[in-house]
Amino acid sequence: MTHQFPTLSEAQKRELHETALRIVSPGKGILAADESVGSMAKRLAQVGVENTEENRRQYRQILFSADDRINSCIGGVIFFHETLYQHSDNGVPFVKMIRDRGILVGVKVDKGVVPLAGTCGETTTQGLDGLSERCAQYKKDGAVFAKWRCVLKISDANPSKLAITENANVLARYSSICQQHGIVPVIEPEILPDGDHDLKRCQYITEKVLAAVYKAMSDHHVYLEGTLLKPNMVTPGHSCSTKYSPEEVAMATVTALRRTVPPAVTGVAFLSGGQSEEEASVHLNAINNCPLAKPWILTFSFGRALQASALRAWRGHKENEKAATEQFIKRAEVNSLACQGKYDNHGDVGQL
Amino acid sequence: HTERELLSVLRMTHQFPSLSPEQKKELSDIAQRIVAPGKGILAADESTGTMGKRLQKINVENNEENRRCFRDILFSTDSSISNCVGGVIFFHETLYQKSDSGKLFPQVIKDKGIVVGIKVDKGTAGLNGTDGETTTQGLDGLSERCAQYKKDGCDFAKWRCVLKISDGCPSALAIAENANVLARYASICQQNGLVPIVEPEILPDGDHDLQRCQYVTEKVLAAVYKALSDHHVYLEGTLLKPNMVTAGHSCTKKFTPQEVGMATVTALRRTVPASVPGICFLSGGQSEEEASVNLNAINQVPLHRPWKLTFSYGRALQASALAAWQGKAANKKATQDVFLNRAKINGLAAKGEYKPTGSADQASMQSLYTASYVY
Repeated sequence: MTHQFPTLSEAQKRELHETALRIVSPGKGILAADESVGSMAKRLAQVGVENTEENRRQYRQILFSADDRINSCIGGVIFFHETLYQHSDNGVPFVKMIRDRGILVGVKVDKGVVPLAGTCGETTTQGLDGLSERCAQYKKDGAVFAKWRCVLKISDANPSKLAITENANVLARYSSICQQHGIVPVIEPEILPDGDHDLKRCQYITEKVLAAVYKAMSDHHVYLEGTLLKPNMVTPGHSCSTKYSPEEVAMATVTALRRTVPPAVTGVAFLSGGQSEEEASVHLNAINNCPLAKPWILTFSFGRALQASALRAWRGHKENEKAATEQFIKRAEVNSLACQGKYDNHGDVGQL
Repeated sequence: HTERELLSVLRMTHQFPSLSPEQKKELSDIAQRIVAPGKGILAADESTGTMGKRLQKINVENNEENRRCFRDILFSTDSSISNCVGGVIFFHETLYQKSDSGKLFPQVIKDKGIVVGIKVDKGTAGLNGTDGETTTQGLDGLSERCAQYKKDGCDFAKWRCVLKISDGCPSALAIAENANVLARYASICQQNGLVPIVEPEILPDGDHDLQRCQYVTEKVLAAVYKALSDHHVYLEGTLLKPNMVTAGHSCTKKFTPQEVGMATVTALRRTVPASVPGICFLSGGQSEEEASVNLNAINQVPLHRPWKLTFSYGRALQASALAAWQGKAANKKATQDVFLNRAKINGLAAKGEYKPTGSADQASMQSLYTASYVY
């Protein structure tokens, strides 16, 4: 086990590293527009829109037709499979629309969570079958990065050792396969915010989970410089009675990452979880202002926290499209500032 | 009640108390002091047997007085030594010896503002069923020993594990076992207010190239930090003492200091969390000058390095001093001058500011490599 067998050539490594750097260029983050059909159902239901392929296409078009203002805010867009092959009203493939403005195209490649028998409602994530062939095809179709989401939860008995090691392992397998095809893996070990646990507990678990993730990455010979991490921020559970300031969230988050994420990882792009748009931005800003040394880029990979206002403004009405796009651009610009620690929200706590 | 107990068996997700905030702060402060900018560690913890080998080279008898005498010379070097030395690692015997002026050595060191450390392992032991691989012993009663050492003036400890590169080595067992024992040691030290220096040395013996050493170093360090996480070790209150990434001694290909620097820093960036305050390289079999030049190159690598990168040198700080001493009292000042000079050079190298003049003397260029080095 002491001999290095070939995994990636120097050229392959360089390509992966440069792709990762471009996605998280200063001031940029990721638009997670990869909601599955089922997830989109929930989003559209909230604004009274029917979950059809056409409506999903219309909705993504609103985001992708944002003007050049987003070019300096968005480094990459994560697509759902269906969306990768859709076009604008003018017949321009979405992939082309995105790539033409220098934004990189990513694709969600996992196939959702499945239960782990013998655990207290825990899951792993499937999607490894034929993943190599799928990655090769996605690369041909314009994708240069991928995303895979694993889910863990905090409760009295969770996460269990099995859940931690199994999810870490499947994330490492996915990463290894992606890299073979010149695709940068975004690694997402999401620890859900459900529960009444406090900030410290979330920090402790985040540290254990991430330590396991990076040990698995090492075991599977994953090239860290050609990966990105998409973790949860360290926050208290939703039903926790104690409130914490953005600075406390930031300190807990950065401390956890400093203890577990090797400096070689090019960037950390946080998921927003159940946070509101403003909350997510304020937290990201505080994270970037945390006075501890942070050897990776710390940015966003937001879904809801970039789209909630846009969705509400749209409500499925064509005449609202411009206004909806404008809402999205606004959030993108705010998060661009936040990922540089420059977002001054004037203490508008009411918004949180 | 029983249900709770059952749950707590399943439960691995609750943080049970390990260190108080005050204990953490103390450990973190100690670690920061040891690796303050421009400072490194003098490893003066050679066991009795090892000192024997050193003294034999200069035809000096290996007795307690001679060992005391040599350490006394080093420790009584003028106080400017504390600009480049942040910590000294002691061997047990030395901790209780006194200088010529009658002061206990730990006090001599502390008076200079230098932190006192102690080697606490009890040497290697064979791992059955492996190709000559080892683990390291010394955990028995370690907690009580640490408590005593803390009372006697120590604020940090050192424990050396050894791995080697060959066709079948290091094995998965050797990697896992040594990582585990290092984590146990680290955990016990921290409970007693001692900063653990974690030393997973991969020997330079062999004909492997630089890349192979880098690969093995990455695997070993990944295992070490997973074990430290599993054992709930407070990383901000630890230091790492690894090998630099170098080609094996019998490797026919030669590599430049820049290549050594790049391979070393890359391996560390892939495995050592940023919360570790400092990495203090061992010198292995490198000559004094080689060890300084390589440390300097490491500190000039154009990659982001979030930890201090400094030295924890034994032979590479003392070889010339030993040669200058020759066991003669009359050579005391010359010995100290030579030692101080090496310390200053390494202090500069730890900042990437060492500019070799190209006229390194004989002793400093001499390789200090001994096959399969054992303490």
